[in-house]
Order: sequence, then structure tokens, then C-alpha cells
Amino acid sequence: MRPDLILGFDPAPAQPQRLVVLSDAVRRVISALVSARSELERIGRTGSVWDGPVGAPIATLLRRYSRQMSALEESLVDCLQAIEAWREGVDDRQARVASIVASVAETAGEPAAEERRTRLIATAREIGIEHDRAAADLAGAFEELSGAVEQIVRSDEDLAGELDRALLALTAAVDEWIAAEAPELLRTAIALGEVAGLTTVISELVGIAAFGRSPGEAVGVGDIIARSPGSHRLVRALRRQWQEVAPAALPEATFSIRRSGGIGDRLAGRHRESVAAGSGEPGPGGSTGSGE
Amino acid sequence: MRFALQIGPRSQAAPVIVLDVPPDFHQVPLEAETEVRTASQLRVLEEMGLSDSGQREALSLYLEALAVRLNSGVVISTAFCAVELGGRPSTATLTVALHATGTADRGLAVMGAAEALRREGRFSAVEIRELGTHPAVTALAERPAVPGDAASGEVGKTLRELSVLVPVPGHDQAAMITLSTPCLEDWPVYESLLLGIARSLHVQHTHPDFIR
Repeated sequence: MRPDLILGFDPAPAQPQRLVVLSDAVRRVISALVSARSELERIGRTGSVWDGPVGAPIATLLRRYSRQMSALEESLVDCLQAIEAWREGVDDRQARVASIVASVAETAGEPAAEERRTRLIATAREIGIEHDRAAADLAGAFEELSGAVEQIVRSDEDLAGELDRALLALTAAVDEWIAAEAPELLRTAIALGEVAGLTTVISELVGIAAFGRSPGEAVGVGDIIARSPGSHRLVRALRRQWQEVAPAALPEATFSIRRSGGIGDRLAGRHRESVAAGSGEPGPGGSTGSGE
Repeated sequence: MRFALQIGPRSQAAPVIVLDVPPDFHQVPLEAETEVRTASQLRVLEEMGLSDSGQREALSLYLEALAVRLNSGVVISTAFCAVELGGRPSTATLTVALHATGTADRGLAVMGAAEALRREGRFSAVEIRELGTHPAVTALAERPAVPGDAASGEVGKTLRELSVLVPVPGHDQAAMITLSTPCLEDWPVYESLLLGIARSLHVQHTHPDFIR
């Protein structure tokens, strides 16, 4: 029974099904906001990777974003609570109105029930006032939400622009760092891997592990080292190191004729002496002797 | 056991980076002074409890060869463990380098290093993480010993490596720690162990003089 036809007015007009759709939508928006804000807080919290001159401006901006989202989230939660309260109130009020409408309809045409009908209609009017108040509360919650959104929109802060600039600066700083430091970093990483591979050999050398063969199988030390990953690099490195060290450490071999007392002189002298003692002619080495 | 990595010249007041390492790891002696190094090598031989003279000699030679190999490189510490896990022998190595990052901005060093390691392509996963109070980069790689890698030409075991770069607070240096193991079935144990070691990094201003 339509209240407006029986009572002459509808004290609690509303479509509860539409409110269900609205509250579900608001709930999904809140859930998305909470998730995004949590992620921003996680990324931007102090002490993490952003804790430095390059990252700090980004962390600050992320925290500001997070605060704005938090304010919006609070307004939406208030709004959702208002919708829920309104929906429950509407159900209650419409049930009461339906009961009044039924009673008024039952007593229609009965002069003796006039006083009761008047009381019922007065109650219906009170329900109407209650309904209007609840509607005003709901509208207030939406106004607050609208205000929160407007505050974000009207804010002088250009958070997106600032964040964009800070991220560009960070990217440039990272690229600059990579250009200067990456080659050495990669050399270090590779060296660590190589040394790790070489150190792994020790476990097999001492017989604690037997990689790639049966435990107890007799394998010579040389074989173990040779079959271990990277071992040839140790051998090569040692050889290379020796080649690098050897020429610098050893004196240059020379047969210079200008050096008196050198091994060449001594050999030449001895040769001359032996030649003189034998044939009486200077030998071929005589021209490189110490006297010249 | 503690690894002490000296920043700058050795002196009582020089800052030292300290890493807490489980006692199962035996550090390969890398001291520059021959006498000290030899003594440390003997200590390792004793710790290993080797009675076979051939094994002792082989290990001794190998330790010395490693020390020579590393004396001018960036790697300042290497250690190995040989333990029993789940009834099987298991081994891993831990290598540590002190790397100049060119900045005291730990965030920049971490982001730069992560990007550089990603671009390099040899790592299957590179991540930025927070380890305790430290921002850090972790990089995972698997290195199969392909034919030609081993001197015998034989295909060896696959080594899985996890490297962690942890910038040192207040310094333009980072500790780079790599754990490598051929025992892939024990990987979760070793991974968590390495992350724990990285978390333990702290700077000490009084020289601990061979903290063990």
C-alpha cells in the first residue's frame, strides 16, 4: 500500500536497494584507498632505501600523498557509516510507516476510529521529521566528503609535478652513479663469485664433500682441483701474477760491453786468458773485453 | 665468529665494519705478514682435524695459493663451512669484499647497484630489501660449471650464489657478501644465514683486533 495514497503523504521516501549499491561502491573505493595508502607508506617510510639526500624528497612527497589519501579515506569512512545508518534507519522507518498505513487503511470509514487515525497520522509525521533529520545527516557526510576532495583539488601543492621532478632527479642521479661506479661494482661481484668457487674446492680437498663423484672414491688432489669450477682460473691467475711480477723483480739480463766487472767481462777475460795460454791469439770474445 | 673489515689505515681508532658469522665457517687466512698467515693456516688445519699428511699438505698449499691469489684483489675475506645438514655433507663459502660506493647516500648506492646488476644480466633476480636497519641489494645467480670452466673440461656442479650489497652507515663504502653453494637442497638454510649476516653489519670504532 502506497503511504501517499492512504496518508496523503510519504513520511519516509527512499529506495533501500539503491543504497546497497551505493554503500558497496563506497566500500570498494575505501578498500582501494587503504591499499594504495599502505603501499605508499611502505615505500616512503623513513629508514628505508629513501633515507638519503637523493631519496628523501621522494619519501617526503610520498608521505604527503599518504596523508591526503588518509584524510580522504576518513571522509569516505564517515560517509559509508552515514549511508549504513541511513539504510538501517530507512528500513526501520519504512516498516513503521507500513504498519501505520495498514492500521489507517483498516479503520478507513469508521467514525469511531477517527481519534486513533489522527494519532497514527501524527506518528507518521514524526517519522517524517526523523527521516528528514537522517537525510540531513547523510547529506552532511557527503558534503564533508566533497570538502575533503575539494581541499585536495584546490591545494596549492603540485604533488604530482613535484613527484615527477623528484623522480627525474633520482633517475639522473642513479644513471650518474651507474656510469661512475658500475664497472667496479661488477668487477667486485665477479671476483667474489670466482673466489667463492675457488674456496668451495677446500671442502672437497679435505674429503668432507665429494661433488660429482661417489664418496670414498679415490681421487688425487690434482684431479679434485682440476675438476672444480673455476680452478683453472686460479692456476691462470697465479701464472699471470708470476708473469707480471717476474720481469719487474728480476734484473734485466745484459751483456753490455760498457759494464766493467760484469759476467761478460769475466767470461771474456777468462776466455782471453785461456786463448793466450793456448794458441797465443785473441779469441772471438776478445773484442768485448773489459779494457774497451 | 666475527669478520672485522677495516675502513682506512689500521689504527686503534679506525672504524671497523663487523659482521657476525656463524662459527661453522672457517676463514681462509689472508694476512699480509707471512708468519702470521702461516700460523693462521696451521690453525685452520688443526680446526679441520686432518690427520692424513697428504690432505694436510694439499689444503696447506691450496690455502697459500688462495692467499697469493687474493693478496691484491678486492676480496678481503673468504671462509668455508663443511657441515652435515639433514644427514648429508653440505658446504658453502662466504666471500666478503669492501667496495667503494662513491657516496654516503645509502639509498642512492642501493638503487644504483640494483639497477647496475639488473642491467648486467648475469643475475636471475635482483631485489632491493631492508635488512634490519640497512637498505640492501640482493642478487641471485646460478653458475653452471660449463665444459671448459673446469680445467679437466668436465661439467661440474652448479653453484648458486647470493650476493648482498650493504652500504655502511656514514661511509662511502659497502660490504659485498657472497654466499655460494653447490648444495642446492640446503639453499633455504644458507639464504637465511646470509641475510642474517648482512643484518648484523655494524660499525665499531675501537679496533677489535681479530675478533673471532
